[in-house]
Amino acid sequence: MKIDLHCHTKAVKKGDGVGRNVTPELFHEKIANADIKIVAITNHNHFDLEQYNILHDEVKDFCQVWPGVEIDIQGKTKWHLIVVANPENIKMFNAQVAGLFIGQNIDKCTLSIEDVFNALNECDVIYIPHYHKDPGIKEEDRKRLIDMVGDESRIFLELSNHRSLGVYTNYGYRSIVGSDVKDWNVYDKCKFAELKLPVENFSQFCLLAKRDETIVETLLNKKQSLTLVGKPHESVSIEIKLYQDVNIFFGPKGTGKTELIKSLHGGMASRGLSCVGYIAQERGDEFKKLTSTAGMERDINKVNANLCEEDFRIIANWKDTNATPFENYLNWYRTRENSANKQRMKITEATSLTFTRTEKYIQHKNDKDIAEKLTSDFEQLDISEYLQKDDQKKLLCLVKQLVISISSARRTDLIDEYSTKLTNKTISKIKEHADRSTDTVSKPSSTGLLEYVENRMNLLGAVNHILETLLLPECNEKEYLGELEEKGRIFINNRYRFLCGVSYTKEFDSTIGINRLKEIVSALKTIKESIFADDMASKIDELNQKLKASDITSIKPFLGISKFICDENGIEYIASNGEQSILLLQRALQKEADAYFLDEPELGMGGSYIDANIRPLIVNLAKQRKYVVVATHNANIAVRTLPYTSIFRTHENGKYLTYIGNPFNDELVNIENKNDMRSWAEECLHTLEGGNEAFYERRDIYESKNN
Amino acid sequence: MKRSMKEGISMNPRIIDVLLTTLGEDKDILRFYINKDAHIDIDLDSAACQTEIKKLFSEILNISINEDVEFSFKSEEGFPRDLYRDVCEQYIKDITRELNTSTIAIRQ
Repeated sequence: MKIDLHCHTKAVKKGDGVGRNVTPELFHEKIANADIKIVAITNHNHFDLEQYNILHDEVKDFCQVWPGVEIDIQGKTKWHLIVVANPENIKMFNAQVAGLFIGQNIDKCTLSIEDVFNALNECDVIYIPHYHKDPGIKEEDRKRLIDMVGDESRIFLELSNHRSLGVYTNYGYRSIVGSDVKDWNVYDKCKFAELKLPVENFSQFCLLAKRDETIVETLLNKKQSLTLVGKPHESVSIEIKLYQDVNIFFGPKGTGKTELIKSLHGGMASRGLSCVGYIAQERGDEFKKLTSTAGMERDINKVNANLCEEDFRIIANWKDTNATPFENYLNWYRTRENSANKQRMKITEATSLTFTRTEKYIQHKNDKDIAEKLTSDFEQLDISEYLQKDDQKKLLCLVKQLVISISSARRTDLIDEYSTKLTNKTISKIKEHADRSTDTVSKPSSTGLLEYVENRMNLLGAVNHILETLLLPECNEKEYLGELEEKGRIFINNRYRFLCGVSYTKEFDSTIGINRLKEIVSALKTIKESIFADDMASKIDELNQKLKASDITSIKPFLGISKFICDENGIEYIASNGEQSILLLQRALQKEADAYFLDEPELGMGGSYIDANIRPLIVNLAKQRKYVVVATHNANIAVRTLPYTSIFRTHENGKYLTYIGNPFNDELVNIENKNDMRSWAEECLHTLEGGNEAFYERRDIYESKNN
Repeated sequence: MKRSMKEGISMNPRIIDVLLTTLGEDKDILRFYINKDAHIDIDLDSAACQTEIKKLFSEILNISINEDVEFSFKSEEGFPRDLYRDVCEQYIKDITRELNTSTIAIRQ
């Protein structure tokens, strides 16, 4: 819809060329050719009511004509201000303009902003100062004008050309360009601004301006649309055009709005656009899903734990050792003197050497593993990216030294260990040979006590490692969910913690069960406390049966996982039904997507909350050029968002009917019969619930249509 | 009673008396007096004395966690078999040596 709010029809001032004079016929021809739908007559320091009426009547069938005036203002500097009035106040405007310039020299007079405001504001006007266009308003005067008018949506900046219009509009300035016609013969060659939405009258234009800072179309802010097939019932298909703005579905209950929303959501998604949905009736189930651990992995890395698979393997394979029979000692003693040579071979009386895996041994072993990983990770790093040549050399040298040093310590331990083992084996072999050759029995290498101890220590090490791992601190991962008044920020908490005194059954795999896990831990503790018990073999056996029955081969099943809603301090919070709605809706609207489909977002919420919190979120998404599709019974949402398109569903005389329109032209048109039209405002008044502000806005639109 | 710097370890060793004796007519046993009221008998003539030996190991290791252990060996007056006496002396020496090494590992 093309608009020209700076149009001269008379040469008034000395500087005005005769080309500004226009006959009614020429006016009609040029306005029609240029396809202008709204034109404001804004002659310099003058308003001619008679001419206005003639020109108005000339084009009234296809173009709105609004009264206006272009005034020379003396502020900080001199600049031009266009004032355009609501045509309903034409007589008042005419009188006020006349009063402003009475006794004044039209060519030289200038007025103050205050004079103009005091004279014309009550005529229901908009103000259009020249901006970056000579003579243009300076910032100080612009701020004064805004303060005086009190409603920024009534002030538009007139720019010098379309390129500037595009730039300023894209940056959110309320701006416009007008023809400022100097020669009517070439009027239709001018470039004109296009409104984003058609408006029927001055009031609707002001309503559009109130909603959006940018009322004109530019390349960037042009509304994209998609035509999708909506299905209010499985057997019914309706083509619906959705815009990158707010699209409202409203109407009585039982008219298929929910099904429409769902089908449009599916249709949008199948076009490859990312979509977010919120269906109020399903909020209970949706909220439950938020705290469901389905899909949450029992990940021990979250608590920085080791799987302890080797420890469980030690337990599974553990067998008690046997002591050396006393008889062996007797036999040795009995046969000792059977051979003089054997007697000389004192090595046959040698006992086993022992090797103890000390803490240092274990530390060196672990450090060697770390060093190997460090070397491997290091090789993948391009340190030349981050360090100077000298520093690179130093670092490489130090790392090499470290690795060599660790390897050396480990090597010493292993040599010590294996030399001991080798010695024992050698002595054993020597004894064997000596016994065979002399038909004697050598002294037993050990009573079996050392092997007994080593075996038990090995078991204790494994048990201790498992029990220590179970004491690792829990991990809590908080994910922001939303905000509740007076409760603050609310989170979903993913908790990972090992079995402990306050664990819940549902934290663990139900096929194993918390009781079985507790039995196993109890058994491990008993083993630890009585590591030298005589009946250790049966204890281990019992434990292994439990482990095998539950297929437990690592510490993973002992990691409990849970999800719950909590406040900022991590304390669990039980949200009421209404609060659940609020949180779910906030979550949906905060997700990044191309389209948002909301069905009855107002359910479970108070009117003031909806108006203060939900409506701004919806409007903000629309400003970001998202598709926002809402089915609602709430006036705050359906009316106060000033939707780009409204779809009204109703059921009358056994038939379902669909009407499409918007608040700016106050029309709802039957998609099956273009002659069947309804008033948007009337249907809103009848159908929608709540919201005083919304009620009055509906009334304003309704009354603006009828006046 | 002296205490070592490591808490709970008594520096006065626990003396476990060990007696080589006979039970009944001809059963040779090595009796370890764990405490005043309890003792463990190792049947020296049985090929299956390992169960008792393991019991013995269990008891003395539990004691050695907190106390140093020493064995005091003697044979009953008039015990007829010198071979058994000599072997048992040697056996006690070996157990003592192995126990000392084990104690270091246990207390770590």
